[in-house]
Amino acid sequence: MRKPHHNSTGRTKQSASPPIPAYCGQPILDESPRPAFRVAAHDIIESLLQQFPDRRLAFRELGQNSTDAGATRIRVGFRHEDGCMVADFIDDGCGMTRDVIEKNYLTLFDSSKEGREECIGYYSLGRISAFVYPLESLQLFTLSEGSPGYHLEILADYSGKLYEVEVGEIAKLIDSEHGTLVRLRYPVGDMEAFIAEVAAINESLRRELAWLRPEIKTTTCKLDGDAIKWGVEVLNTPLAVPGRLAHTVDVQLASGLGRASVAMGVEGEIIHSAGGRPEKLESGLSPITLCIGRIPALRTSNLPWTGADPFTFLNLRVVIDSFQFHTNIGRNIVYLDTPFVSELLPKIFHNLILGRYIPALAKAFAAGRRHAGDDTALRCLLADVCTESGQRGFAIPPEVLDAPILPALYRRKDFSIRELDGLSNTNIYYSYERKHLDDRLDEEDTDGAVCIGMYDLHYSFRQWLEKRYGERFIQKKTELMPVGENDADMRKLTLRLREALALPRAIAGLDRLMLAVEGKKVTTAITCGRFERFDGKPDTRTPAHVFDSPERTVLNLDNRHIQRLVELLDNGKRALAEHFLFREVLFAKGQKLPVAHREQLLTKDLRKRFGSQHRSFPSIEDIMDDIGNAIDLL
Amino acid sequence: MNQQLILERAFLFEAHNEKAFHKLRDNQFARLTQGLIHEPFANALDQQAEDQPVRVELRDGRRHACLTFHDDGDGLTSYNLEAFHYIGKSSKRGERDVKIGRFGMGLVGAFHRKLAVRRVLITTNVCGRPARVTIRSKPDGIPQWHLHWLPQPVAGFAISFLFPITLHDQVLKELNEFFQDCIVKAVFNGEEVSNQPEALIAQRGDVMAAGGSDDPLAIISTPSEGQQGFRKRDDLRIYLRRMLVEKTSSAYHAFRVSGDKMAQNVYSKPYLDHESIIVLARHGEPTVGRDKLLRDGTFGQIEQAIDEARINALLELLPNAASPKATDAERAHAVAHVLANAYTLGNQLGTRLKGETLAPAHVHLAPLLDLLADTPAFEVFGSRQLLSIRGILDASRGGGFVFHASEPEVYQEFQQALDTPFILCERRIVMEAIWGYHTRCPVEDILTSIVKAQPGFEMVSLDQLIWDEDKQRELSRKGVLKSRTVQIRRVRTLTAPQEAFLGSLKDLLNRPWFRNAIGRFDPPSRIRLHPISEDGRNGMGAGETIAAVVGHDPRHRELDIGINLESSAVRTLIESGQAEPAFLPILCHELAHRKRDLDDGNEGLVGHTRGFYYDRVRLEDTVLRACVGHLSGDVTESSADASDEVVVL
Repeated sequence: MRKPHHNSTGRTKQSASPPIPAYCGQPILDESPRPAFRVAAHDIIESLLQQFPDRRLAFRELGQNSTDAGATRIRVGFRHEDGCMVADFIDDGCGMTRDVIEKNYLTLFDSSKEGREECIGYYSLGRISAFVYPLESLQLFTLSEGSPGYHLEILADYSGKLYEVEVGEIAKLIDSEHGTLVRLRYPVGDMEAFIAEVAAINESLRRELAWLRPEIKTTTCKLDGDAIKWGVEVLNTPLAVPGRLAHTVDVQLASGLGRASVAMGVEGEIIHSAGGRPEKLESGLSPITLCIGRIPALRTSNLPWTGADPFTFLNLRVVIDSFQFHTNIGRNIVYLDTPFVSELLPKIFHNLILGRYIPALAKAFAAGRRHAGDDTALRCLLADVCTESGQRGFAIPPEVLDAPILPALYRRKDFSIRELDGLSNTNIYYSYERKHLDDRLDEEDTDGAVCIGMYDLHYSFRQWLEKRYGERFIQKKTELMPVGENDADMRKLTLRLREALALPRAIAGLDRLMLAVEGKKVTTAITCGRFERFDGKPDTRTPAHVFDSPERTVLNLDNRHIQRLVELLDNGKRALAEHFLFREVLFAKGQKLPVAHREQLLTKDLRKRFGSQHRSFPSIEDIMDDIGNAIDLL
Repeated sequence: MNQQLILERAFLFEAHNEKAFHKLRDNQFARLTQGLIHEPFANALDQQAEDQPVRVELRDGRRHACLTFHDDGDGLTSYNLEAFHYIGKSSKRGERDVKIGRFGMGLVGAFHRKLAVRRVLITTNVCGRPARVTIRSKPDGIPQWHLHWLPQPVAGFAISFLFPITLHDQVLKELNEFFQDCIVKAVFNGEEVSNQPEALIAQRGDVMAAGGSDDPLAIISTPSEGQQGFRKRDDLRIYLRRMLVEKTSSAYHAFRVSGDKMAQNVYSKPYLDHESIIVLARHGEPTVGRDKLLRDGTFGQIEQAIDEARINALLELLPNAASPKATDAERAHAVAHVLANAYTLGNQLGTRLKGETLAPAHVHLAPLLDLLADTPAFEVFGSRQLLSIRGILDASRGGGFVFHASEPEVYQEFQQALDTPFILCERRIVMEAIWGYHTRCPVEDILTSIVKAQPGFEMVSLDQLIWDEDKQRELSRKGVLKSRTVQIRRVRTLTAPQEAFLGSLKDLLNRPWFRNAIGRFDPPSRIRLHPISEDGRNGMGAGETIAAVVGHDPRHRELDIGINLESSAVRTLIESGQAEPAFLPILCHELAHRKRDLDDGNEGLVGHTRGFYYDRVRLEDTVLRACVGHLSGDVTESSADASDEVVVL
C-alpha cells in the first residue's frame, strides 16, 4: 500500500513567491522588489463563487466537461437520501488519469484543454461552480483507458482525499470502460422540495444542454400518491430553430480563423395543427444565441453584424455555434472584438443571412398560400430588412423587393416594393385597417386605388416608406370625402329631401334628427352631395355615409339607387321613395346605431309614413318615445 | 468500495500563478478600459467622504499618457499590501457589503495586454509612513512591485496608470462616456462633472414616485403627455454605490421579451407603461465583467423596490380614471393601466377580493390591489358609467351571475329577459402602448378569472348563451332568465284587403328581379306566405311579431314565412294600398334567418348575431336596389333560369 503524503505535490507555486517579510505578524517593510498578483486559491474560489448566481449552471459546466472529454452519452440521475439531493452526472468520456487529476483538476487556472481547438473549457474554473450548492460532498469517480480508476472526494471546506480504485468497480458504477461520474450531495428538504429541485435542474438542463451532441438522458420524477413516479427523458434536440422556415448551415472562414454552425429561423410562424387550429410557434429563443460547443454562452437581442451599431431583424432567430468564441472568466460576456468574430459576423450577415436566407424567405413568402394573418411574422421580418437597410447601409435583396409584403386593401393581390416603385406618379395610400380576405374583395373596384394596410407592420417601416415615396405616401384618413354639399343644386335638393323626410328643422342651428339609443343621443342631419374616394376618384357605389364635423348623413347623388329614389319621389311612389330614402339614411355607412334598432326605426317609419296621418312625420319626441315597445322581428 | 488512499490535503486546490494572472488580466471585463477606469474609480469612491469629489486627471506626455485618480481616503495597511500580493485576497473582505474594495481582482485588469500599461504608481501612506508603491509590468510574466519611502508627507491616496500615448484618445472618449452616466461628484481635469439622480430623472419625465427604502431606492418617472413618443423603450439604470452597473430597457430586464411588451413573465408584477427607473443601491455585487449586478438576494430587494415605485406611481395615476378633473386622454390612460394591472395581478386580486391573505411575497401589492378593485374600468351596456371590479361583484351578490356580451344585438336580445342589474360590454381592444399590437378582451381575458375565483360567482357570455339552450333552461329554472314564449296561430279566414295585400305581395315577389336579387344568397326554391296571428308573448326580446319563419324544409328548399296581418305595421301597409315593396325589408330579415341556418348547419332558428345582421343588410341592399330599379323601369325583366326559380306561394 502506498503511503499517503500530505499537502505536497512538488508544485508549491505559492511558496516560490517570497512572502511579505513579517515580524510578530507585522510586515517588515523594505524596498526589495516582489512579484505581484499571486493567487490565493481559497480566496479566489470564494470570489469566483459569487459569479454563479444561478447555481444550476453548475450542471452546464458538467455538461461542458463531458463534451470536452469526448463523451457519447450522458446520464443524469437523482436520489433523495436522508433529506439530501444526490445528483449523479455520468459520462462515457475519456476519464482522468492521476496526473490529469492532480495537475489540472486540482489546479485552478491550469486547464488540460488549453490549446485544444474543439474544447469549451479554458479557465479551469467550472468545477468550482458546483460549490455554489451547499455541498456536503462532491465525489468524482473516473476511469480512463490503461489507467486505474480513481475516486476523489471533496468536502465543503475543500479538504479532500484521492483514492485509487479497482477498474472493475468504477466500470460497474459508470457502466462503461471509461468515463466519469460526478456526484453532488447537498441538503434539499422533504420529498416535495426534492421533486421541485429535480424539475428545476431538468429545466436548466433543457435550456443549456439540449443541443449537445452526446445523447443526454435525465431522470424525471413526479409525486404519484405518496410514492415517487420515475421517468427518463432524452433531452437532445437538433441545433436548429424550430419551424418550417428554419435553416442550418456550417460555415468556415476562408482566412482559416475558424468555423461555425449557423441556425436561422422565423419566430411567430403560424402553424395549422391537425385540428386545423392555428397556433403561433414560439421557440422561446432569444433573437440571437451564441454557443460554444453547442452550449449557449450569450443570449442577446442584437449583434454588430456590420461592425457598427448592433441590430437584428424583427422575428429573426439566429443561433451561432463555434469553438472560436471566447467568454470572460465570469462567462457572462462573449468577446465580440476578436479577429474571428470581427470577420465572422459581417460574413454571416452579408453572405448567409442577407445573401441566401432572406432571399429564400422572400421567395417562400411570395409563393406561399397564405391565410390572413398567417404570414405576419415573416412579413414583418422582410419589412424590417427594408427598414434596417436604410440605417445600416446595405442593399435590399431583390427578392425582398419582389415579395408582396404590403397588404393591398382594395384588391386581392398584395403589393411588392418593386411594384410601388414602378408607380412613379401615383399616390400611395396607407391605412391601419386590417386586410380581410373575404369574398367582398372580389366585388370591389380594382381600378387602381393603391392603398396598403399597415396593421401588422412596424412603425419604423412606415417611416422608411415615407422616406422612399416622399409626399406620394399619404395616410388614408377617411374612406370617402363628401363634395359639393354647398352647391346650389345640392342645397336645393337637400331642402327638398328634408321636407320629404319631414325632418324637423333648426335645432340649435343644425337640422338634426334625434334618435334615442341606449340612453345616448345619436344626432344626424341629412344633406345631399357627391362622394370622392380617398384617391380623388368619384365614388358611385356608396349610397349614403355618415361624416363628422358636423355629424351628418350625406346621400350620394352619384349613386344610381339614390338617383332612382329621388326620381321616384315625383313619380307617384312618393311614400315608398321616402321610406326607402329613410332606410338608406338608417343604413348609411358609419351610422352608429345597432342594426336591430335601425330595423325598429324603419318599421316605425313604415307605420307613420304609410299610416293615415301620412304627412305628420315624427317629431323628435315621437321618435324618442317608447323604444322599449318597438317591434321585434323574429 | 475497495479503495486505497493516495493523497490527502486539508485544502485540495492549488492555483497556477502565471496562468491565473494572464487569464484574469485579459478576460475579466466586457470593455478594455474597464480595469483602467471603472475599477480605480470605484476604489476611490469607496474611500472618499461622500461630499468630496473624486479627482481624476488625464495627462499626455510625449510617449506616455498618465491617468490618475485621487481620493482623500486612508493609506494602505499591511492587510492591503497582502491583497496586492495575492489576487483574490481583497481588502474588502469583511466589509464587502458597503465597499467595493481597494484591490480586488480588478487591478489585474488594468494590465490587459492591449492596454499595455507600463507602470502603476501609488502614492500614499503605507502603514502610516509616506511611500510610493510601484507596480511595473514585465513583458512576459507577472508584474513586480516595490516600495519606496518618501521623505515628505502625503495626504490621501493617488493611483496613476502610465500607458502608451496612442491609447490617449480612446481612454478620453471612454472617460467622457463614463462621466455622462456618473452620479458621483467628481472633478475631471479640474472641472466638476456630476449628475444627480434627480436631474437625470427630470430629463426623462414628470410623474415621479419612489419605492423601497434608502437602500435600495428606486425612483420612477413616466413621460408627460407631450413627451410621449410612439412605443418608446422603457429604461432602467441601476447604480451600485453611486456607480452605474446596469443600463437596460426595463422591458428586457423584467420580462426578457424579444418584441412587444406584456409578452410573458409579467404576472404578479405591477405594470407601468413608458417608465424610466433609476435604482440606487449600496448592497450587492457586480458580476465579473461589471456589466450587471449579480442576481442574488440583494437583487431581489432591488426588484421589490422597483415594484414599490411602480405601485406608488400607479396609486397616483389610477385615480385619474374616475376624476372629473382629468382630461379624456388621462382618463383613458388610467383605465388602460387598471386593465393592464388587473391582467398581470389577476391572481392576487382574486385572492384579495375573496378576503384571503396574500402570500408574503405579495403583501406589498395590497394598496394597489384595493385601488384596482375600486377603480371603474369596465363598460356596461346602456350606461356611460364604468363599473369597478368590486362594483360588479357587489351588484351581483346573491345572484352570482355576471353577464357579458360583445354585440349590442345580443344584449338587446336578452336585455328585457334577464334579471340582472347590468350586462358588461365586451370590446376587443388594442392598447398600442401597453400591449404592443396584442388584442385583449377586457372581460374575457381579465375579468373572467378574477370573478370565477370568487365562490358562488359565474360569468356568462350572452354570445354563447344565445346558442346554448341547456344553459338557457338552467337560467330559466333559477329564475334569472324569463323563458321565451310566443304563441302563433295560423289564420284561416282573411278579409278582402288582406287577401289583396297578400296577392300583390306574391305577385311582386314572383318577378324575375326578385329572384335575381336573392340568387346569390342561396334562396329556397319555394317560399310560402302564411297569414298568422300572435296570441301571447313574453320573455326574451318581447315585442310585436310582424313576421316569422314558421316552417323550414332544407331538403326540399322550402321556406314558410308567417305574416302577422294583424300587426300594426302590416295593417298600415294594407290600409295604405300599393305599398307592398315596403314589406321587403321585413321579408329580407326572415330570408336571412334561413341563410344563416344553411351556413351554420343548424336545425331550427338561430339568433340575431353579428353574422346574421351582416347577411341581412347585404340581402336587403341587393333586394331594395333591384326593387327600385324595377319600379323606375330601369331594369329589364329578363327571365331567370328555370332551375333557379323561386316560387312564392
